[in-house]
Amino acid sequence: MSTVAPQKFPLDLPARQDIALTVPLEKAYRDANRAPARAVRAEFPFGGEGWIITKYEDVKEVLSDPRFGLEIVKTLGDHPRIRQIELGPPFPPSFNEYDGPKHAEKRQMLMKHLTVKRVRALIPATEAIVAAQLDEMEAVGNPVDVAEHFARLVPVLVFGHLLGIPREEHPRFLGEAQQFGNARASSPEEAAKGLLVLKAYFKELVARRRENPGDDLISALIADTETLGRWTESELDAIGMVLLMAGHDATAAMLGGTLEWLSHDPELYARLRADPESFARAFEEFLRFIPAGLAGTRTRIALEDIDLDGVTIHKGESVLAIVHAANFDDAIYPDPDRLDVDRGVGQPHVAFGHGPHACVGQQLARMEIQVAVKAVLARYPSFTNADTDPDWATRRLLRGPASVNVRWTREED
Amino acid sequence: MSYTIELDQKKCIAAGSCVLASPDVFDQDDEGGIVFLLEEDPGAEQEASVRSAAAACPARAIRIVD
Repeated sequence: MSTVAPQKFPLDLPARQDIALTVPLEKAYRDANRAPARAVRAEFPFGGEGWIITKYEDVKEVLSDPRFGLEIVKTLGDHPRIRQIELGPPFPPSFNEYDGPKHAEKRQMLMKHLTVKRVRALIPATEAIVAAQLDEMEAVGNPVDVAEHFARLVPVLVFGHLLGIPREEHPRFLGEAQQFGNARASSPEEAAKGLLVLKAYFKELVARRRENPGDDLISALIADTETLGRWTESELDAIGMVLLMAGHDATAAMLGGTLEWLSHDPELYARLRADPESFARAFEEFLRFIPAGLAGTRTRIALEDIDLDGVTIHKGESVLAIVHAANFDDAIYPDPDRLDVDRGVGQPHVAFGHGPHACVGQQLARMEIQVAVKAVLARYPSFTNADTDPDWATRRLLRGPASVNVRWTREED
Repeated sequence: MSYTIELDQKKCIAAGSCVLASPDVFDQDDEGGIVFLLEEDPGAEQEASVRSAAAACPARAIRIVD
């Protein structure tokens, strides 16, 4: 069965967004989802050939199956993968790269600080951050680029609040973090260089908090270590960086993508503005529809031979479960290319992944974006796209928009 | 028709999806964000939200037995 010639997939994506690539990518997802095989042989952008999984149920199954491992990636010098920097070294060990019970235990130690309840407690501070940032954005002009002056800043400011990092320190890590977010464009040398800066910053932050604890996540994790002894020194040093990498870029892409859509859809904008509480549910459809990254999950390695109804994935082979393809599986979502905020809640999207490694920050991301979009809806009676790109909607399979120029009006009160 | 909620707390990964879907029935503990029931037998009016919670769980830790 695996004699089919590999597709080059997920295509040769350049660093910048390019609408021309969306159509073949979308077609590749669709073809794979409609074909009978549960895994498609693919040539990865780095490291050679492996397998991709695109169907909704299969993506969920692979992401839940412990026979597909992440921890082993650390020991491989090279393997087929979607991002250059997915190679093991030189990252310090972090909890989310473990498998099985070891991962579950560490994850739980972090999750106690990121429950729905704990995240809700961050709403007032997030509202203040968002309001101040909208003031700053307005001062820039009208129209204004809401991606640059709002969507890309809010997640970092909330991250800073969560970790107790003052804004004037952001330049010490932000450039490097953004370079990682755009990792397809970074060479391994650039990535390694940036990593040293990030490692040093977060190591220093942990040391500072140890000396002088505050009301922040790092201090809380240090306190957990002292009472429960479950974080190692290097895990603790890595955790701020892991949260920054996982959080800021994807959240910014999602917020920017949602605002871009709303700036092009005045009818939906008006409807949500009239009923802001309905945005929480509508946002789940945005999460299904607008990808926050190229694959959304890391490449797994088969730990043994695994048979998927006639397709044999051999031990040691790379397997990438593509959550965005699953979210566009028309066996699950009729007319998947249509953004429909009235879609039933029946089949939850897998935008935050699935299985034991599902996104730890998903409630935080939801909260931030909902606070940010609701503030926009409340403040601006009109929020209209001022770009002249007629093909904007077809870019949705790629990452968040580089710029979103919007003309806004504000009610005088 | 009545139904029973079965939780597998060992499987729970504290994603919080159930709390969002059905906040009157599910909550997370303070030790590790692990799921617990606010209401053992929430009845017909919560059935739809309870089923959404089970479907949304990324760890398949919630089972509805009819």
